[in-house]
Amino acid sequence: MRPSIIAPTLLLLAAGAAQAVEFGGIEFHGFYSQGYTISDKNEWLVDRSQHGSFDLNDAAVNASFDATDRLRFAAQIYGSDLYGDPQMVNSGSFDQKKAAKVNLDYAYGQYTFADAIGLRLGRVKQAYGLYNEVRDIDAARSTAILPQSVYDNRDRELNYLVNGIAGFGTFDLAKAGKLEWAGYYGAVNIPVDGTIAKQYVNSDVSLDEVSVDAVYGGQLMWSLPVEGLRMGFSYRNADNLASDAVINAGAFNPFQPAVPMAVVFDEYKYYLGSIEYTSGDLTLQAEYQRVLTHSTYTAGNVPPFSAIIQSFLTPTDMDSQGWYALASYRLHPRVEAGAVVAIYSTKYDEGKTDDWNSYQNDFGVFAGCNLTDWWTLKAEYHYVEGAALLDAQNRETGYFPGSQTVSTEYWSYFVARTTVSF
Amino acid sequence: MHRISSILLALALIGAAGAAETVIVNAGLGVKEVAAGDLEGMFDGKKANWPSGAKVVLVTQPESAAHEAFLKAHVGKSPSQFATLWKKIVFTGKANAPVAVKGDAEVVAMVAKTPGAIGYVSDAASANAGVTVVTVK
Repeated sequence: MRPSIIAPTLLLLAAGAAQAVEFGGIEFHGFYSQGYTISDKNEWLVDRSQHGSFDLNDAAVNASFDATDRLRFAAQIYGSDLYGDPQMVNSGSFDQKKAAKVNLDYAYGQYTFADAIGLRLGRVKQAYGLYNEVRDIDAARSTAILPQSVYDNRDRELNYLVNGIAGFGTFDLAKAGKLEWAGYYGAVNIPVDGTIAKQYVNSDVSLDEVSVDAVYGGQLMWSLPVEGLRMGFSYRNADNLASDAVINAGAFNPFQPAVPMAVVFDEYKYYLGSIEYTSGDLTLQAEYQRVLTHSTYTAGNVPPFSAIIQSFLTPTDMDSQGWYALASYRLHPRVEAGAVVAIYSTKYDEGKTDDWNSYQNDFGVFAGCNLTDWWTLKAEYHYVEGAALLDAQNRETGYFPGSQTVSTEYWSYFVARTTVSF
Repeated sequence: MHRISSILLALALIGAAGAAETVIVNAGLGVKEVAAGDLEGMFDGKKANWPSGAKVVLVTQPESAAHEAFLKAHVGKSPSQFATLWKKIVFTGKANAPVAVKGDAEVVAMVAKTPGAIGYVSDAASANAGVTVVTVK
């Protein structure tokens, strides 16, 4: 990470410790999180995890201001090596060296009309499940990384923020509990060299442009009359996620020029069910997600008898599913430990399969300690079967016949992370 | 019979101890009572305004025993759960963090000088003219 991110963050942390910093009615908060991850096989979470990596880091500073009792403004800048600038090279793979990227995370004006209705306008977060709005906030969860079967870091560019509008509110249902609602609609910028691109790009395919018309969705979260129990349903839709790609056909036929191809997802829907129960020192959570997509392909310069390229142009339906179950127990006011199971499959109705690139079963144990109110330390170990959530170039060398599988079925990884916040 | 009476007395004392924290609000609000559901909503960040429209400002004393007792009795959360909840709220920009002070005297002083403020004290006698002791119904 660039010193330009670290220095001001640490200075603010040193000045603020556990308390917010306030100047002239503007409240400031921030955090710095540094992780280390190492995997015995497969590159995971970061580009060089098999060598051990400190790229699992991020920092943020936010400011908020109450203009009136009901009108509020808030903004946050966020930087990370994890979502840094990979340099795509002509072959369609990514340079391993990345530069930390500092982004405007959220920035909105919020007006609360009543408990049951409020609006946000600007760059707003997508309310989706128990963790999407706080997916970057290490201090807001028990584990060092979120279960990737549901909170896939690779989809973050599409699934985290929108430039648009959001609504929110809470209905008091008296003896039936409380019902929170949230909804959002807006535009999303997707970089051509970002994490979404990396899911598809390898030596056979590169991307020129990725766009989406709009992303919208909503969530209902019901806090039941049973203390500590809540459950919810979330939905998200991406309208016309499209990309201009290039099939590097020369890889299998040296006389074949590159084939430009347009990919359009005319259906891209997410469904998520959530449940959480807390009782004393025990927390139980589970979420189940299905993602339905339908994509069509058009291409130019297609050789008439090229069955391989023709196979790329077949409309494709995908129906993936992912879920996790997590249990954590607070052994001491400052110490917590637990276990998590996260299961993902690219095919909803697929039974047992030998293709380990189509599923990923992750079994983890974790422990964390709040050294102070503003300083946390975590460590976790995961055993994994399958490789479906790896980037494309870490699964196979290409899509054409002759490509080689580079992933490994059985593997494990370790993550340690420390976070300071104020 | 004597044994049963003793048990009932003990249970009554335990119940009284659990409800010992006194909720106070800024006197300018003109509020005499607050619904239990509203109190919970304020402290879990879901209720941002008083019926008058004034912004809710939370005043806490996280290093005290009263903090844990108050959260358990009125918010249904442990101190660590409360801290995690407010990290989620603060880092999404949705509301300002509770104002954390030390001891009853500082809570009373902060609530008295802050419009829309609500807090709790372990000793009702510490309240002064700038705050109103409210009934949780």
